Amino acid sequence: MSVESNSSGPLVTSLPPHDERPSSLRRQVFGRLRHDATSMFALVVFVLLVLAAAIGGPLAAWWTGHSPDAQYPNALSSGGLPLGIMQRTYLPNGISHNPHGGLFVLGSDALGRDVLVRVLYGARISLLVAGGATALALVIGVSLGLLAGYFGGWIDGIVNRFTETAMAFPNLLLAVALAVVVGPGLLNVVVIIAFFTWYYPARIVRSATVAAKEMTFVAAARTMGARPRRILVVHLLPQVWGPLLVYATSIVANNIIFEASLSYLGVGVPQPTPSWGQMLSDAVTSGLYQVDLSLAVVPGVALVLTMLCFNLLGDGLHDALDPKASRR
Amino acid sequence: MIKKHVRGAGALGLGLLMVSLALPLTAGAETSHASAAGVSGTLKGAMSSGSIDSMDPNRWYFAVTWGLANAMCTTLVRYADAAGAAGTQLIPGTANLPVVTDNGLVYTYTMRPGATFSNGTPITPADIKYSIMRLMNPTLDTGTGGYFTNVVGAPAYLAGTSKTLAGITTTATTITFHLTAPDGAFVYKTALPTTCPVPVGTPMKAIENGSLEQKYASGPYELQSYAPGRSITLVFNKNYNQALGARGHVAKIIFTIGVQSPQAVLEIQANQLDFQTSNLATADILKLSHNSALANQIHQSSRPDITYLFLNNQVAPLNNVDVRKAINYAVNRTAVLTQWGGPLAGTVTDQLLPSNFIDYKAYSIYPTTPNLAKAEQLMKASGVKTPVTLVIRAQNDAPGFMNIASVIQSNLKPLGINLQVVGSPNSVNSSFITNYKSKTAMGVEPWSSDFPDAEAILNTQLDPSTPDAPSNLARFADPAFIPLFNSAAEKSGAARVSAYQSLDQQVMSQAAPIVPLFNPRWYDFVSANVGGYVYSDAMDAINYNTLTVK
Amino acid sequence: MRRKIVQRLGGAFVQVIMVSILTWFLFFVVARFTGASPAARIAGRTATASQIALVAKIYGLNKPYWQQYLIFMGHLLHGNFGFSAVQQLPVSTILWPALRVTASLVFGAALLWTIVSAPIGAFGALRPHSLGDVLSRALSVIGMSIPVFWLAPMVSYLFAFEPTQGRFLGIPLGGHHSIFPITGYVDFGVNPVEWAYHLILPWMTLAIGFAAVYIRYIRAMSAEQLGEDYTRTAKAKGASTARILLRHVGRNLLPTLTVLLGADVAYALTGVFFVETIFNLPGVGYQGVSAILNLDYPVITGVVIVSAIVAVLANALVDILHVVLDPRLRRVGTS
Repeated sequence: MSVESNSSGPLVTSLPPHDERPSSLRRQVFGRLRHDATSMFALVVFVLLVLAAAIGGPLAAWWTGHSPDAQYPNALSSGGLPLGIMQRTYLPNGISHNPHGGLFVLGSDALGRDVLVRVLYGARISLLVAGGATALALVIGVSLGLLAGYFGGWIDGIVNRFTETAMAFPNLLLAVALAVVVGPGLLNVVVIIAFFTWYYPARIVRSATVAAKEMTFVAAARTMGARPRRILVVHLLPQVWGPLLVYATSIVANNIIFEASLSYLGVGVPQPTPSWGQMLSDAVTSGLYQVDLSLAVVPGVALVLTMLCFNLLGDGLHDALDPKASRR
Repeated sequence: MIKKHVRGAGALGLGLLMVSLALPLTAGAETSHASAAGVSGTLKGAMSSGSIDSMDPNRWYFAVTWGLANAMCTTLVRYADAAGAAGTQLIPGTANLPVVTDNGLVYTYTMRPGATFSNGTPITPADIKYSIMRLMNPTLDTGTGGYFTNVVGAPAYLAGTSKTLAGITTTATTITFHLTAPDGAFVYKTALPTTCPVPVGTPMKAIENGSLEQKYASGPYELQSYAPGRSITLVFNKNYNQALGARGHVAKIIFTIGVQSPQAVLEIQANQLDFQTSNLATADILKLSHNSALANQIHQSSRPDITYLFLNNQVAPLNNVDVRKAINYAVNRTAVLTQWGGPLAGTVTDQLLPSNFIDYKAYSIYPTTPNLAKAEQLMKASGVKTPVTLVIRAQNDAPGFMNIASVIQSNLKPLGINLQVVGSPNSVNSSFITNYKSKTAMGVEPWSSDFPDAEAILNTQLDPSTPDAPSNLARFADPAFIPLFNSAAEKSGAARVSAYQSLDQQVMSQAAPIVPLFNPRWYDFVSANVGGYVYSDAMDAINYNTLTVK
Repeated sequence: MRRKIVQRLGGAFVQVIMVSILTWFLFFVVARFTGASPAARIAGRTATASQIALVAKIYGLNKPYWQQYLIFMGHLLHGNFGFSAVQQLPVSTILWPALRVTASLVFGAALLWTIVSAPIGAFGALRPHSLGDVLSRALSVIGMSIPVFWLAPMVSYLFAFEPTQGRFLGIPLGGHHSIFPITGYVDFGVNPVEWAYHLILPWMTLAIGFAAVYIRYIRAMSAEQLGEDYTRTAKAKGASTARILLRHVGRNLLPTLTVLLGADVAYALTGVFFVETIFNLPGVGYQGVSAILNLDYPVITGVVIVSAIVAVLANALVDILHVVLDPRLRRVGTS
């Protein structure tokens, strides 16, 4: 405990070691984040994304007077060509009480539905499904990882073999096969995605646990008679949340793409619920994007922006948690 | 079984048929083979995956495969190589048009000399009888065996209890069919591509590797190579006797399987591809028709196809006729057609028979735009408790059908009928809906008539005496209609026309077993190298026998 | 080192066995609970009763489970992956050519992304925070965020189709030019030039996402190496930057890079479905997903097993390579 005094007054204590003061680590992390411009930008985008998912859809639906599932035949030409960006059509009274009613801000899709409203509701689905699946995967993965890392021995052996083998399997293929078998449904998609993602957090947590359990405070807790559950939850868990948080952002990003891929192949979120992957799939497989490129660009850009946000956020968190790495 | 396209009969067709039945035509007796000089060039085509259901010449059933059959086979009688209604007229093939005797119970065909397989051996009446027995053989499980049930001895043969078929007799130059009841459409059945001749002794099990078409092709083209799921190559058949009918002008036609339609269109526009076997998507029709430079590369043809929503008459609540009628009033046929391409791409219909069939008469039973009030009234009258959830199946190889299912999903929501849209590739979808045990509630299906006669639509799709038949998707089984269906099939001439007209109207207005949606048109986009383009109304496919390379 | 290699191979072997057990379990046991019998599924939806019975006999589907597994393994070891009723071909006839296609695609793309990302990453490490570095980092993050199933149709439309209509990225060309083929695959054995020509756009599409990630890896690893004492010493001794990068930094990067490449190639070999579909390359991913949608169970089983075994072997191979390339790992005892 070195205390250095200097002539101007306040004492400066050197930072206490990591494992003794987890709560101040949180403060330090956010402090570093605050100063990183790209991370702040990503955080802003993230907040906007969450807002869009939460209220963006209903707000757009109210403003335009179009619900996400409503098909407006007048928004299609007689040949089935959809409206382009900022184009208007005539909607008979009773469908919309709103002067903007005939305006389709981002155009309409192949079935005459409002693209803007669907893209915003799609944000909800993407975040819900990816978030839900990640949460589920984390619960399973963290539990198994903690158990494997702490108890070691045969539990560790089994979990290890299992995760290694599971990671060798072609994920997308098996997920599609499973989805075809269990049928369509929102909950089904969440469970399927979680089923194929839990082993990544499990491995991370396991190695973090193995490293952490050698630390003195764990031995101390053990000699003091703390039960394994207490050790795991109270002492070890806080050690692993750091790298886990970084990893969680990339898992969520990955799951957004996973859900979009499943929907793209027609086995994800069922019709007529809007999903970015499905919107993209409709545009590409029907060839409609060759006539109206915006049908493919809008969901594509939405996906890219979301992924960008999560990637930058993950980067920022990674840098914030480990300031020595790649900060030169 | 289900096919993608529908054939049509013109008003001229049946008339000429009757005339030709009275006067057997004899064709020239000489042999002539086309010289190599008249045949040249290579054409490249694309097929989407799943277009080919079978390469066994007595088993194939999909329209795309029938297009190939038309090039590689010559049946007893065949359709003229002309566009539109003229292409539904029957002319001599390997035999002359039959002489019909004994009040329509006996059909005698006299073989024309010089018909050979591609390996040079002659096609004999015994070969033809064997081919028909092969298509009726229960182990091969073909889709057209049922058309020959009225041949003497057929029921036992179809059931597998007999190994011989007494109802077909042959001499050295003739083949005769003895029927148990008159059949106004029998001659058409002897032009089915599944009656493609194969030599006596061909194994009675499915031969899918294309070897039969390599050695025993009887049409202007023979199969050179077949890589399943990858490619099919046809070459000009030098042993085809051009005296039987001058056909075939291209040296080689290569099909690549597995190209998706939007990519194929890009390639045709870029002249990297010559044609494709899939229907042109809406977006492409509109995009291409705006481009005046491509005007003579786009071909529009009529097809007597009916695309409809079938309702399983044996699954609640669809077993209630008021519910079925309510659905007929609630479905927005115009919006459905828009998903297929709008008025350019077809015409809406509320009847079973396509509008260019001779037996068609407009009745306007149900409206083209929905009448929700009437639908709700009917639902209430039915006494069925709502909401109810049902599954609606559609093919997802082509996006149109899935979108149509989505439109119907939103149309039926106000009635309290919630639909779950389940899409699958055509082969999988087809196997579900044709299997009565799957109890599929509803589905969007295009139906292509097997031959240009009302029997191939009404009796094949809705014969109430066979509700479990693979093609009776609606599982229609109303016993009151059985005698009407049977008697219509036995009639000929004007009596047949009026019988089917009233049957069409009666079925739709009284029983409403299905919801007819529209009759599509066929749009083809070919490259600048393709000449002699003719769409075969009878096969519902491109007629490869008239193609030339520019 | 020999002991480590043997251990690693032994581990890989155990994993392969586990993969086979799991796959067999999924498709032969679990399948029972979801409807049709395994025999009906394998025989295909259009099979007649006698065909189903025949299949049941071949696979011994009425015998006890352990016997069924041994029959299954026996078939596999003879290269017999079963017969696809949907495509009317033995599964191995479908899969081996498909593996060639996918391998062509993935290895070519891997070469491309490594060649592209190495100099950019190294440059970023040499000149951190310069305009070039910031630009490359921005591009890399964006590249990481683009989903492949969006990129593929866009690339195909913009680079292959638009030129044939006389436009290239909005700039009008004089007339119609066919710069790239829009779809198709030509085997290397048939025509190597056409093979490469048809694969240029698919390679680009696949490489973009991976290059983005590898730029970051290489930049981070190079930066780490450049901070080490030995590079400073080399520079003090007058070595040129190029020499330092290639001979010293590069060599130290090689082991880790190999491991990463191995894992990514193994992953890519099974995950390239979208690129294969848009460009009509009949590879393993395309066969796998279309088999699933067509309920073609023998092909699905085959693809899963082949993919998993490839992944296991690739990872094992790469781990061994890592040991070979990194002298520090050789002397250490068991992990």
